[in-house]
Amino acid sequence: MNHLPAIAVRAALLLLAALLPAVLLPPALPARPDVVLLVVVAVALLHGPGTGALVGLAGGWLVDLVPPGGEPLGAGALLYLAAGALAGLARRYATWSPLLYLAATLAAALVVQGVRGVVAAAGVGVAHPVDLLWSVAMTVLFGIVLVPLLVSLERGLIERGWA
Amino acid sequence: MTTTRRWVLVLAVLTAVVVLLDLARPALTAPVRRTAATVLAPVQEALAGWDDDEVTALTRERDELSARFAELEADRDRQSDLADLERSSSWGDHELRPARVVGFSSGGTPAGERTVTIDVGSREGVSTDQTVVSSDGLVGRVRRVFPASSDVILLGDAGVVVGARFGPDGALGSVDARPAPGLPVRGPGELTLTALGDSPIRVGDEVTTLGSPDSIPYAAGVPLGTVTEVDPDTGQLGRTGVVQPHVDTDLLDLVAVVFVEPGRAP
Repeated sequence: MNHLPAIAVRAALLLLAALLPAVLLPPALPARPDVVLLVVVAVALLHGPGTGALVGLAGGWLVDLVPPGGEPLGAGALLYLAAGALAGLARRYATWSPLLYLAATLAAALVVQGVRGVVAAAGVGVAHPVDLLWSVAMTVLFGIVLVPLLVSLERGLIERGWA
Repeated sequence: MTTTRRWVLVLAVLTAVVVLLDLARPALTAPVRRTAATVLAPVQEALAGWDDDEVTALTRERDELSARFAELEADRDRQSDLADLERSSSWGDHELRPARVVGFSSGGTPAGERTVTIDVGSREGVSTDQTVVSSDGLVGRVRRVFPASSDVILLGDAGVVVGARFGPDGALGSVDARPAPGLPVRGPGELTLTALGDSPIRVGDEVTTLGSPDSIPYAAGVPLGTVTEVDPDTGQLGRTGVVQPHVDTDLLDLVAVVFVEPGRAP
């Protein structure tokens, strides 16, 4: 089985997710949605925690490296790895409800923004709780539309035997 | 399955090593950032440049004129008031290099940072710690410089503490994004002004930058914000107040890097 096309598609999606929101979204939004996280969640929901963690790691590295990036290098990668693994745990319960993807998106967004809040409370960086909540809200809001789209794209890859 | 898990483990350990390396020896990981910036800057620039050219040119012109107007106003105020002379605001002696914001820091980085990427770099002569302004006021300072782009750390980041003057007499103080413990809770984006001396802080006081030698990292007399609230005196060292910055960092588009004109000592 050849996995290369699926890896290329995911890499392209992650790169677009890291680059496009900064220029395409109207700046008047209260917070920018975390589109990279949505790609990670969509892959994790279909493939489980292992692949979720790997795609999360790749997405996190992009978050760290796409200018202006993050400090310290690699911390974002580890955080998105954890978020991807967590969203992947939801695969086991996928038959329970068609809305499970929303719960997984919410959980992943809460992990990412929660760590941000804790780190700021510990004295590194500035993160206002209101901003963090807006960030979670916008990520889930965009997730309602984007995650099903990304999941169906990923399904298409599986049907072609690429993933 | 096991192979995937093994890969996750190996890559996570490698990433953790990079984190430690970046914390301990930032110079070792700098080339990684430089490579990423060099590769991605043209892409970001192209993505940000979908705007109509004429609108861009006119906006740029408007912002330059607006900045020039602020300069002239500052010049006039300086000459009219003897007290202003003492501040030796060298704001008029600077040259502004317009730049465009092409990237914003992601909302997902673990350490809450406020940084943006602009489309000028060492090729245009930008170096670290130069002041960045917009037509509204202080934006921040240059933190990292790459060949065709630079990262700017914004006012409101924990790493930006600005010496400031406030009120009609230009009393000294400092502006910080993180309030000292014990002060009232701040709203998102609000900054804290701490007075150095005994001067009272009043609501409505204008806050400008104090300036540094050679204008690195901050040029003098750049408008920064307005005092919107004064904290009650609860025994803190120095009076404190809430400052609402003039620049909304979420809406940044065209900014300017401040250059000190060579040969004209401030």
